[in-house]
Amino acid sequence: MGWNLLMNGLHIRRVVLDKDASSYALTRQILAGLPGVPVHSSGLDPHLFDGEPGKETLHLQHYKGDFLKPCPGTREYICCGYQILNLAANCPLDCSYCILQSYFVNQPSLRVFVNLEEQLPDVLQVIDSQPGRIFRVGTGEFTDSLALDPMTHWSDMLLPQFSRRKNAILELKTKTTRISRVLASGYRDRIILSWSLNGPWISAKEEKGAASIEKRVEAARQCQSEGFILGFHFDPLVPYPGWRDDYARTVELLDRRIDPGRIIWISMGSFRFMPALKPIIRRRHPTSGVLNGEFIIGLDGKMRYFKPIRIELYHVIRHLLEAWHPDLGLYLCMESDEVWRSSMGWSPKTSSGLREYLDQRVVKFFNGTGQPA
Amino acid sequence: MNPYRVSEIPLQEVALDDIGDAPGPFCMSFGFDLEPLISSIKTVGLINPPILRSDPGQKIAVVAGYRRIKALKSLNAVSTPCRLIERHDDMPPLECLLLNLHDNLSTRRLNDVEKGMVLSRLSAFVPRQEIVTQYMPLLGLSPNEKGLLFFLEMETHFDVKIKTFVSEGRLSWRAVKMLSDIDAASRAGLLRVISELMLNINQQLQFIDYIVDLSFIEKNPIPWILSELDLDRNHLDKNTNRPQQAKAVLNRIKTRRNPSIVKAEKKFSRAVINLNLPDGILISAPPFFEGEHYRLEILFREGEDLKNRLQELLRIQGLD
Repeated sequence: MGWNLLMNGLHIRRVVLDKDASSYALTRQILAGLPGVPVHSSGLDPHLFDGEPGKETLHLQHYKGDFLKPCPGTREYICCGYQILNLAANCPLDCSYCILQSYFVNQPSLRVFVNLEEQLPDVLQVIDSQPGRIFRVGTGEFTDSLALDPMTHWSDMLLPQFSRRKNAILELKTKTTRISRVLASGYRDRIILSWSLNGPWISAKEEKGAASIEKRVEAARQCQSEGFILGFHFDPLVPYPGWRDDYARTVELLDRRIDPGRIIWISMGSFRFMPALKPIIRRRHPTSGVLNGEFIIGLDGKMRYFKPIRIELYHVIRHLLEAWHPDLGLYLCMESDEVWRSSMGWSPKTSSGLREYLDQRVVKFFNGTGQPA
Repeated sequence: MNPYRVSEIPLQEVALDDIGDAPGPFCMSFGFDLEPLISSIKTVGLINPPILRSDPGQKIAVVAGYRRIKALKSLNAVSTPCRLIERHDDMPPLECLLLNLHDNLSTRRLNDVEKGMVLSRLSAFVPRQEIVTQYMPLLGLSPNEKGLLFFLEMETHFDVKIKTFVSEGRLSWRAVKMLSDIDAASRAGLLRVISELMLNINQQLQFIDYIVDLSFIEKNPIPWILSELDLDRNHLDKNTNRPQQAKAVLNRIKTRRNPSIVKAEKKFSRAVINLNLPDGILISAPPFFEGEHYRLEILFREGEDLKNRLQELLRIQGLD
């Protein structure tokens, strides 16, 4: 195993290589960084390797779908209109609440799509063909944006391309401190580094493999001091005894380390999940407390907290954040107009209203010129 | 296997005492009622002779006809006509198993526990993929490996009580899956309540889900939670029937699991009652209060009646 991978806490025990993935430069680069790690040809059932989702099996694949896709929001709730750049599926971290556990139950290995470089021009062409539209693009929907960066060097490929485009931003969302490559890149414009945050207790108990909240905030501070615009995502919010004090501690930590004027947005979302995830959490994380709340079946078929509980969560954290700074670009992820009004005091009313609000934040921070405001 | 071979074995009389009582390795019978067969044998005698297998040093084993042998023994019969597969017949165990399977499939429908028995026995001789593609469809099951694993687990790990529930169709598959993740003592406790209150399929799922949740939330074992809830039917309201008791029990558990939701439901019900709505006018909340729209239902005979009802509604105090 390459020393850099050990240094970054990645433990790849084996690689599964698809036949049509072997010729790509990204494949060669990843394999070069994994000397001594056995490489198996595809066709082997990844379940054979691990009793648990294959956090230690890296599957290099040629992805045949579109690399750029809209976030799969539902019409019942207000969606931010994010675009997902689909680089990989699954994540080396092991958060108890992670929806990927049910999404990829039949393909449990860490899957990296090695034809990214070949497909990236198509992605950029989609962006360039609509100069009047702002593309807010993220890579953190189906994997952690930076967890695999020491091995994949995605940031080397993506940052130069997005940094020079006037109608797009790239948001790298992580729970790790694997920032060395982005810091070394020299690209800052139109790049947003974001951290998922939670109360320290939830982080310690439920986010196995992730950096502590303190370390995440410290990594964010470092990136901000090096010129990056930051984002934060309080998602999933989980109520538990003492949650108010715990989330307040996280906000206090932000207050001590982070300049709020250079935060483009902070989102809040409460824990929600497809019903099929429940038995998986019970089996894989028997001591987890994330299922303890009062859940109902939401309008999109997902389990979510009873509405008054969600409103209280958002209301309390909004006030904590607004007491820190009045203009943080706060928004809710997948919530109704009613919940917006009750907890935030205003509402974008529709998904297009929220898209407009976030696009305006992009314009404000990057001024349409590629330079931070 | 040569399909005519068994019929070529001549019939002979074998003493029932020489036949073992154990179901044996080819048996696929579970949860059956022996009485109709006893009655049939009493009336017209044994129609179809069992197929047995003789192994040196052991009691004679039943290949096909386990219930018939059991019925004959309970009738105190001394011997039975049968076809006895001898050692020199050289019939391998898989052929014996298939013989019994086809004998059963041609005369009756196997229950789900029996299907599990068949799949489990086959898995000793047949590759998994072949079981999925050939034998699962033969048993009327969807050919998928996940399903096979579940049946194998049921056969190996489930106790007789839960198998009995399954064989009698008293437990939904989803409930069985939920129970399969639970320890035996907890499972027995849950099954007792399900059985006593005769919970329907949806109630079973809700009940198991709530109790498992409470066990995790309160960090107490399921038997403790059940005993603390005091769900014994003798302690429930005797003036109510079983469905009412089931509903009351579920409401009690729901209140403990989801106090805020139940509180909101009660508050809404009180508010609607306080409106004193005229007969035939109903107001209902969106499911779980998640949506924003309430539903108004008005029963009316004709246009004039509807107008009057709407006028009545407009006069109601407290709607604003």
